[in-house]
Amino acid sequence: MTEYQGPAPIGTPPILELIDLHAAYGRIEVLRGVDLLVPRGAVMALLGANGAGKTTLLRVLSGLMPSTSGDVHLSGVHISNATPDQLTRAGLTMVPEGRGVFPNLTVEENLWLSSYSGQPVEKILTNAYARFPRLKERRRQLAGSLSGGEQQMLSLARALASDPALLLLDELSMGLAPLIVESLYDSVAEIAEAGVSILVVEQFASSALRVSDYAAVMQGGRIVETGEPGEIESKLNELYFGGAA
Amino acid sequence: MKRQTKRTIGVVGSAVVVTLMWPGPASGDTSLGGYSGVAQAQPIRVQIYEPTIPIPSTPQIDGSIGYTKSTTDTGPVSRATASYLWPGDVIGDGFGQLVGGTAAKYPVQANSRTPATADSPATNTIQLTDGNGMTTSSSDTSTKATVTGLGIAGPSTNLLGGLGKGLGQLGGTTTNAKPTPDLPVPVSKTLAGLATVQNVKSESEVVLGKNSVTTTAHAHISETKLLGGLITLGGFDVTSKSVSDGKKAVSSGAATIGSIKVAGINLGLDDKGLQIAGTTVKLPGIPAAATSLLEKLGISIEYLKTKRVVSGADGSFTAKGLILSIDTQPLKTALNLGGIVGPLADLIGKIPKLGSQVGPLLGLGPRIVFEIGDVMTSATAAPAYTGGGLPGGNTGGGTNTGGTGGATGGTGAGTGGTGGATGGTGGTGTGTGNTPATGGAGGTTPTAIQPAGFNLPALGAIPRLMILGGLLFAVALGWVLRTAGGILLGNSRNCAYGLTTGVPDLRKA
Repeated sequence: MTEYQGPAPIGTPPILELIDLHAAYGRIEVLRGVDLLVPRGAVMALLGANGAGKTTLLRVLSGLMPSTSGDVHLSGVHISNATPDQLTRAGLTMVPEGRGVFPNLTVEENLWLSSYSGQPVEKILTNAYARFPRLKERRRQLAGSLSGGEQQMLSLARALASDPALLLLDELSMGLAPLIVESLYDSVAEIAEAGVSILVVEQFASSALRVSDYAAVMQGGRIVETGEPGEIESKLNELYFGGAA
Repeated sequence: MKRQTKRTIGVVGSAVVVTLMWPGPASGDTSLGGYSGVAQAQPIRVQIYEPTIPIPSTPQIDGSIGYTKSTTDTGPVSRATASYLWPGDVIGDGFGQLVGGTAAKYPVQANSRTPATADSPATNTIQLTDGNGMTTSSSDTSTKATVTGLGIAGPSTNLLGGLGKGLGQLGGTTTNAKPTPDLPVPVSKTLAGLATVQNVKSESEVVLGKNSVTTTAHAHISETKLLGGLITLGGFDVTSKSVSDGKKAVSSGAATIGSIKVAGINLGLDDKGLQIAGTTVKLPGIPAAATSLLEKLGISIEYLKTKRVVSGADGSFTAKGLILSIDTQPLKTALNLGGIVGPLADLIGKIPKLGSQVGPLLGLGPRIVFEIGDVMTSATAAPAYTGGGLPGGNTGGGTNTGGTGGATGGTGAGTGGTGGATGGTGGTGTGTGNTPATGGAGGTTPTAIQPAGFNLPALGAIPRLMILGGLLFAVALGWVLRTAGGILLGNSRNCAYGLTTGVPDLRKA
């Protein structure tokens, strides 16, 4: 087991604690002992190059994929074999890579589907349109015909509809123009200010680091560095490219 | 509100909603729930296959002499169309689009519709020339189209000019001037080369009765000359009839041809002609000599062709007196007389004007098909849902009418009111209040209207213990599989850090 290197918990138990977490696709081990701690109410950026295991980690955390060994503690409770619906009802929600909206449903219908979490539809729509006014303009439009940024907004709004305590964001910037990415991360910052803990996985570090309280870097299925955003940013070249810059 | 009250309101509300949504008998003074009838008659139909003609259909030209068509569908929504010269549905109905998207309509037609419109009133009569008219009518119960005429002759007048003042009367225009000419409608030499006819009658009708829909079609011509007289039919009469009462359909028809002559050669029908459909008459073969000649001319003949299809409440009958198919290339060659000797030359020689008459038509090619006496009827209907009441509908005192029929079934007291859709006419019985009368033997158990293959077990037919056992087994199996999966994946062990195992509610923490 590797020594835990994350930030120290303060007072209440951390919202997420990973200890020596392993996961594999068949014989190929992708997570090779991940140790990570996300304090409650914090935004943690999880950075890393392609193939580092970031998305796999999120899939394990959200119950979409089993771990092969290791421990996951959610708010001081050991979760074992929890299913995605259990985790969602508990307040852990993931915004998947590629947005995952229903392209043949309208914006409003996509949001209606989020009411499975028990929230009233009116409340879901009001909150979503208040946070993303663009979605209100497009509410009758098929989600598949939205721009990439609008789809990402819809995906975020849908995730927020379940009133999450811990939000997992996977590659929020994928396929989007830089200006749109900046705008989305502004929204992420606002969500965090509302008290939602966020673990954001991102290849493009600068945007994520701008809104993060802490950052961690994954490499080869392990966390190789954690720290303050500024500290991590200064080491990124070395961490990503082994010092070449 | 008590639970029982809620339940009662729910049951009653559901029954009301279902009753309101269930389609009742269609209007038109019929007990049928739905119906559709089509009747069509075309004494002569000409199809020309010519790919170079810019008409988006195959065949490119599909015209009829004496076309009538009547349709009625549930509503009733009906249309009757009669046209002395019908250019096919593509041009006839799509005339406006073909001439540039205007509201123009093909002029040689009369229409009636239900519900009636300004263009298609309930009754409509257009007299093309004296003795040649088109009549249509449409009401809730009857839709009929008729074309009667003295025929089409072939003086040397062009088509539109020949129709002359008759055309001026189309669309309601009236004139006191006597239309000229007043005998068989004169058409161009080329059209006359295709066909001339005498005494045409075409009639199609759909009648919506109390318990059935009946369609009839009738085509009659006293004499027909095709291809400038190369083929002559000495009178024919073709009829078709289909009836559906919602349970079964009956289709029938007959085709009678007086005589057939090809280039003066009689094909051997006797004085009574030939009649099929409903009889066992064996069709006489066309003499080999004539067949051989016709083949050399590129002409093939198929006659007295009928098709009857009945399936449950759907029925249709199609009859064609004669189908004449002309491959234009051999005929063109024959008419040029190049190298033709013997019987074929003699044959062509008997009709000296044939070449000049049909020559322009043969330039179209590659194939011309005549259908003489083309009639079709089809009828289908579905019975109306007539209720039958809730089983054992104890709605209060009353006289049990012994199930006198579906419509009133179930209104009586007690179980005697089980008369359903197939309720009988049994005796009467009396009963009051919740005491069911024995109600005689009337009212057979209603036959449930169910889709084919509906074989779910009756409610309560499955033993409760079996259901309960199945559920328990499924739960146990699910638990075992989940636990086994956890063990295999190594996640079922206790937490090494002494933390409780479960899924916390993060929103309450």
